[in-house]
This record gives sequence, C-alpha cells and structure tokens, in this order.
Amino acid sequence: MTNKGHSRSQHRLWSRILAPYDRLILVMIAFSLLAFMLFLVAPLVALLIAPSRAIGLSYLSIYLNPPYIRIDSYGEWVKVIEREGSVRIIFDWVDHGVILNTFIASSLVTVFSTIIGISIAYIMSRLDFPGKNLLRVMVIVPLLYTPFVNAFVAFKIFGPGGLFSEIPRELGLGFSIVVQGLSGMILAQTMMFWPIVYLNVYSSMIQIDPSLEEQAENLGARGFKLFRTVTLPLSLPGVAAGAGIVFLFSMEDLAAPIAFKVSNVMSMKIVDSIKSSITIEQLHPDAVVLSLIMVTVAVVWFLALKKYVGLRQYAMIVRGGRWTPRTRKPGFLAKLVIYLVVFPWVLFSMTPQMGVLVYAFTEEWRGILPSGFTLDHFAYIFTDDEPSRALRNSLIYASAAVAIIVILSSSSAYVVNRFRTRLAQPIDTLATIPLVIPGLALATGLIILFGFGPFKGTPLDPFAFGPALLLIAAYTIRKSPFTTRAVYAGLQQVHESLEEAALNLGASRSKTLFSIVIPLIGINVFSGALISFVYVMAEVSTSITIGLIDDRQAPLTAIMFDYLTGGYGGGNFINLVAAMASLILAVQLLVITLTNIVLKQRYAFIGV
Amino acid sequence: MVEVRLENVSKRFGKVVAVDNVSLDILNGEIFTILGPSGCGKTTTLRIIAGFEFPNSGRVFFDERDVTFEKPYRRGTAMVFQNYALWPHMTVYDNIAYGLKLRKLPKEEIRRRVKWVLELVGLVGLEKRFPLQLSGGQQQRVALARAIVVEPSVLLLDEPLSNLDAKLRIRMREEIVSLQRRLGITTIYVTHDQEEAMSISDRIAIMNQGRVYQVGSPIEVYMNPRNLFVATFIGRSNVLKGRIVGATNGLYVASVGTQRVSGILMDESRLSVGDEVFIVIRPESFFLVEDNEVRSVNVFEGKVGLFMFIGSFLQVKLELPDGQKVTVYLSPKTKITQGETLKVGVSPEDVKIYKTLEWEDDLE
Repeated sequence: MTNKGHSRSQHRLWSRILAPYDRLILVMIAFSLLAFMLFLVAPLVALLIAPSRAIGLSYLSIYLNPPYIRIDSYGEWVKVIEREGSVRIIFDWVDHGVILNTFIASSLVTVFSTIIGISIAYIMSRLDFPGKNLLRVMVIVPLLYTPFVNAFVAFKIFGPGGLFSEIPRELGLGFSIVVQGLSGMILAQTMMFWPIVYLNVYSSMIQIDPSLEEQAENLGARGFKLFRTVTLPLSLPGVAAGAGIVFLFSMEDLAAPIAFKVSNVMSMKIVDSIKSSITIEQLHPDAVVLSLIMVTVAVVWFLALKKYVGLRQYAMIVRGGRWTPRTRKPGFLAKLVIYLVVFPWVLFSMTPQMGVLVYAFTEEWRGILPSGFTLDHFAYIFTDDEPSRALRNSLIYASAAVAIIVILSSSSAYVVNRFRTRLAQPIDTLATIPLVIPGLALATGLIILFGFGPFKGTPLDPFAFGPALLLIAAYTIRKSPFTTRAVYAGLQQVHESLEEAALNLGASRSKTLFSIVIPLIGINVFSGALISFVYVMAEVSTSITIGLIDDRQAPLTAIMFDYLTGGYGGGNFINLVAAMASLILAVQLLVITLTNIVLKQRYAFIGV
Repeated sequence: MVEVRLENVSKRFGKVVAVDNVSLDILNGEIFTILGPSGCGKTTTLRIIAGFEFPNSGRVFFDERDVTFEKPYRRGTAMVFQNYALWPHMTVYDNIAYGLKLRKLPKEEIRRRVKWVLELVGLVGLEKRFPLQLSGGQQQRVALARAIVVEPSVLLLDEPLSNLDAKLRIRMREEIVSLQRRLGITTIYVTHDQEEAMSISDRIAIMNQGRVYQVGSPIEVYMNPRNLFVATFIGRSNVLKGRIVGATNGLYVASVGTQRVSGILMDESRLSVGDEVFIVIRPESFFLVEDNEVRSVNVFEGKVGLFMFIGSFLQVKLELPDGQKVTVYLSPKTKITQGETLKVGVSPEDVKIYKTLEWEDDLE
C-alpha cells in the first residue's frame, strides 16, 4: 500500500472511532476521567503501594496479632452487679483487638439494622394505619446529620447515670440498665443507621408490581409465606444495598466510638495515626494498613452488588409510584406491633437529634434533665474568631466544591447516560464508587499522594500550602455522586430523541445541551447541587484529618471534632458543638424542604 | 433534494449484527420504505442515514458527498420520530421555528415559513399551545411540520404513525403522501406495517435479520416475491412442501402428495428432478373447480375444515389428502358445509416455487 493510501485508511479508522463523539463530549469525558483518576484512583493506588515503602511487607504480619487481632479476649458482654439492694445490668464488650472489634460491631449493627429496616419497610409499604404519614416523616429524623453530637446524646441517655438507664429503677423495678463500650457503640449506630436499610427496602417494595403478590396469593400463599417467598426475594436488591451501606458507614463511623470512649476500632485508630503522621510529617503504618482493609471491604462489596443486582438500577430513590400500592388494614396483632413497638422505637431513634437541639439551647445538662434555656452558644459561634472562621471556611469550601461538582456530575452523568461506549464505561463506575469508598481511607491516600508523595510541594500539598485546596478536591469527589444521581435521574426522563431531533435540525451538541437538555433537567441539577452542598458541610472523614493540618483553614466539622475530643482543654464543649450541629441540621431541613417543593417528589438522602 | 446511497453498510451492537451488508439506492424525490418485522434493523438503517449511528463498515452517500462519519447536524436531513420528540418546554411555534432559528433566518422570514407550514398541516391557531396540550394526531402534525419547514434534502420518517389509532393512521398516511408529492422531498419511511408500506411507497425494501431481501415497487414485491421470506412476509401465503418431478414450457412441475402442481421458479436458476421445494400460493389465487371438470395439474381436492365469513370473502381451510393444509379465499356467496370435499384450482403463474429455506424459523 502506498504511503498516501496508508494515511487515508488511518484517517478513516480515526473517523470511525471518533464519529460518535463531539468535541464537547470528548472534553466532558477527559475532565471526568482526569478528576476521578487524580483524586480517587491515584490516592487509592498510593495507599496500595504504600505499605511496602512505609514499613516493608514482612512487617505486615504484626497486624495479625494483638492489639489488632486477639483471640485471648477479655471482658464480658453482659455484667450484672448487685449493690445495696439495687441491680445494675451492664451491657459492655469483649475486646478482640482493633480489627475484629470493628468487624464484630459492624456486623451486629448491620444485622440489627437490617431486621428493623425490613420490618418497618414492610409495615410502611403494605399496611394502612392511622399515623402512617407521621411515621413516614419520623423515620427521616435519625438520618439527619448532626456530626458527632447525636452519639453523645445517645451516650448521655443510655450511658452510666443516663436518662433511660435509670428509668426502670425510678419506676420501682429495682434495677437499672447501662449500655457502654462497644455495646453502646452498636446501639448508637443501630439507632443512626437502620433507616438506611428501611429506605432502600421500602423503595424496592413499592416497586414490586402488585400483580406478582396477587398471583402468589391467588395460588394460595399468604401471610409470612407470601412475604418469605415473593415480597422479600423481590426486595433483596434493596436489602443488599441498604445492609452494605450500613456496614460501611458503621465501619467508618467516628461519632459513636468517641461518645462511648471506644478507641479499639479501626476508624479511631486511623484518625489517631493520621494525627500523629501530621505531627511528625511522616506516615504512620496503621493509617495505611487499616485504610486498605476498609477499602478492600468496600470495593469487594460494591463490585459484588454491581454484578449481582445491578447497582444503578436501584440507585435512584425518587419515587412517583406507578401502581396503586397494595395496602391493607392491619389486624389486631399487627396493630399492637405498630403502636407498641414501631412507634416507640422510631421515637427512640429520634432522641439523639432531639437531644442535640436540647444541648444547643441549654446551659447545662448534668443531671437527668437539662436546665437554663440560652442562645449564647449560637452567639459564640458567630462572634468568636475560631468558630466563625471555621463556619466561613466550610461555606467557602462547600460553595467551591459544589461549583465543580455541578460541572463534573453533569459531565459524567450525561456521558454515562447517553454514551454506552468503551470510553464512557469506566466513568460509570468511577462516578458511583466514591459513595462507598471510606472517607478515612481516601484521606490517608490523599495525604500520601499530595503530602508525602509525587505531588509534594504543589499547591495541593496540605503541609506546604494548607489543606484548603485538597479539601475542596476531596469534597468534590466524595460528594459528587449525589448530584450525579440527580442529574442521571433527570436525564432518564428526557428521551434521547428530544436531543436527536435538535441535532437533526442542525443544532450543535452544545446548542442542544443549552436549549433542550438544561431547560428540561435544570431543576434536577439544582436540587442535586443542594444535596451535595449539605453533605459537604457535614463531611467528617477528610475534614477532621486533612482539615486539621492547619487550624486556620479548618472547616466546621473539624473544629467540632477538636472541641469534643479535647483538643481545646478538656473537651467540655458539648453545648457549643451541639449548636454547630444544629446549624448543619437547619441547612439540611431547608434543603430537604426545597428539593421536595421543587421536585414535588420524595427524595431520600442516603442510599446507593 | 438528493439521492441517498448506502454501500455495503454493516452495523454491530456488541455481538448483534443489526445491519448486515446493506446496499440501497434511494432516488431523488421518491418515497422509499424500509419494511420489516421488529428487530430487523430498519430503524438502525434510518439512524445511520440520519447520523445517529455510525456503521462499522460501508459508506453512506448523499449524491456524491460521503457523509458516513458526518455529524447529524451537518447532514441536512429532517426526521420525524416515532414518539414525535416534541420539546415539552417549547410551544408549537417554537418547536417548528427551532430549525429556522438555527439557520439564522430573519424573524419575518421565520414567521412567514412557520405560518406556511402550519397551513400545510392544518394547525393554524395552535401556535401558542404546548405539545402536551395537543392530541396525538396534532402532535404528529407538529413533528411533521417541524421537519419539513427547514426544507430538508431528505425527510426521514421512523414509524411515524404507529402511535395513532387505526382511522387516524389511514388519514395521516394519505396526508403524508400528498404533502410529499407537493414538496418532492426524497423521503425514507420506516414501518413494520405492510399495508402502510404498500399504500404510500414508490419502492419498498424488505429487511429481515439485518439484511435486505428484496427491493421493488409494491406490486413487484407482492406479485413476484424473490425469496421465500418476502413471499410469506408480504400478504398471506400457503406454503406447501413438494418434490420436483419435471419441467415443461419453462414451468416446473412438483408433486404435493398425490397432486401435481406446476409453477414458476423464483429463487434459483435451475432445479433437478427430485429436489425438495416450497410451493407458495396466495389464498386469493384459488378458484372453485366444478366436479365434472377434468384437470390433472394445479387442482387440489380436500376436505373442508374451519371456514369463516370475513365479509368480502369466505376463508376456508382445506385439508389435503397428505395432511397439509391450505387456506383458500372464495366468493362470499359460495355454499359449503364442513367436512364436504371441495376442488380448487390455481393458474401456474400464481404458483411460486422456492428452493432455498434459510429462514425456517419464520415459517412457524
């Protein structure tokens, strides 16, 4: 073949490969890939190769021994102590070492949350009873983010001398119940996380075509048999998604271990070792190894779920409800369960959030009940240097991150939704996976990469220039999936032919986007951005690690953590921190209300 | 106006071959229909012409211009989508004016042309409505108006009538034909409805499993289907199995059970004695044969099974002695009873003989 012919056939090959893409699409793909590669994939890869450089692979075996894993455990799960005629039942824990403790606690939290979540989802999706709408609102409350403080309230209520623990004795029953240590942590996390399973399972259950259950009934299945053979199996995707998220959230949670003074879990160990890494500007191996364990669990679960149930199919929890759901009146027994078990339990799960408000508006809460209404804590936040600077930092970071998120999420959602090509496929996974990658692990990876590794000395180096830019990048990656999901949901409702009709009449890709797509899904982008904003404001993992590298650039949640854990002389700043949490709570309520009005649909916040 | 030419176009989606080596020549100003069962690749072919899909091999030409990899917005086609694809956030006026605004025409000119096309499709007075405030038929007209107002070089119609009820469908297809005749735009029409295809087209391409099986005028593909697929897909046909016993005067004679049938060989150049063949006869080709008439070929004698009065004809199922069944349309006045023996005849030019059966599945 002549040279000329060769170059012409090469030219045709390129035309063929590039034919489906416009320049704008190529820019979108490049931008998405670059962002996720640099701030998600590269840090995780850095994490993966770090152990060999930091400690040498041969030393990894120390993580199989105490204090990380111990079989010769000591302690008791339940103790009964009799003193002066009164009995104390103490739920405590058995120490199996950092790694096993975490897995035991997270597994139990997942099991409890799943049982509770499925039961309540079934009741809410299949039964009709007075007070149902009230319950529907109530179950959202435990999901409201009040970083750290809700667990403190749980401790205040169930811990030694707490409100609930003394109730049986006050009632004259002669005993008190104390929940502490790992048991307390498990209780607090179950209270926080069960609604995640509920929401995911509920949305699966109302998606089930009623005729499937009717067919089973028609063939003679009823009651529990019907539930076990049809309803539950069809809801399994929701169960798997919800339970998995609970496990990951529990594994990564810091609030409950701090409140119940449990230091022997992975999340606490990672934070401690990052802190010491920051002080000595050298990497502590605990952070790396424990982060790797967390990432492995998260990735394995994510890939399994994606493979077996098709994650994206269940990604949206936007419900209009195409069918009239199949509901019936509960029988006597069911009524007893609803009013004597479900309602009290949901109320009980709401106590931390209510307690946060109590703390925020009162002077002190030393005995069983608090005293002295005050607004001083809020005044302090806005007037004192440090809290007001942190609040301002958070608002700036959140605004900057959301601005980038809007571009990143719109690009990746559009590319994934409209182009099912080999070039677009990796973006699909990359855009969803930040939801499940533990923030502490990502923080560790980012510190390795930008603090100690190849990007040391660049503007993103948190030690050289302060953490602001790196924080914004981390927030962008971690919280973009919320916007991506909203945009994706919007795009699914805009039939591709609407765009093709415009392209066909001579509109370029960008003209089509601006005249057809954006007018139709602008509202989704907007509400997605609001949701991401809230989650950036409430973000904990990277804030309290990277964010504390330089106090002046610390975000709100970082100083909340600092105040609580005694960074500021003794850590009795609970009222002040509760006031900060209340601010975050207020922003969340505002956003939920706005998105509900704007989208005229229920938008569940947490879910994969 | 242009001539559209496809040269050996193939398109794969993963392992599925949607369009398999298709070559078509669509003439300037004609209504050309691509007809086939669902999944046959007809819509993909249309989308390749519009530029929404790009072929894995082969080329597409508009006159002499190679547009194979041209972006859709540079092709100058106008498409009417199956779901109309009207933009819900724009009024009827804005929907129609969209393409004109893109061409940066002066405001006055845009107004004039929108008015002209609204009159053409009979929608004057609905300019300010939004698409969701229109009936299905009106939406269809807006979609059509939006496409023809830009004076496209090619008009592409993707099952444009499939979402309308039966009566409206017939009215709209007549309107589309008369519009096309007035404007003379090269028009490519995709449908799975053979009656629709027959009634509007200058020429039809029949597709199945990604391949084009025959191209021709409606009369050609109905009267002279070149292969067994077209013969059975277009109209109703009886397919009988037989064996060649001889040939006379350019006609082949086959045995079907004890009967002899002579007909025209359609899909091969020659046959030999003993070849197994498929014999295709349309139900309306049969006529009654009186008992006393003596004939040796092309007469079927069978027992009357189910028969139905359809209105314009009587549909009768005849069971032949060897167990094969044929459907026969007779005059509605014919008097018959179930179980009686009936003799029907058919002229040799109405008997088509096919050798090749590579689409056996479709016969079931």
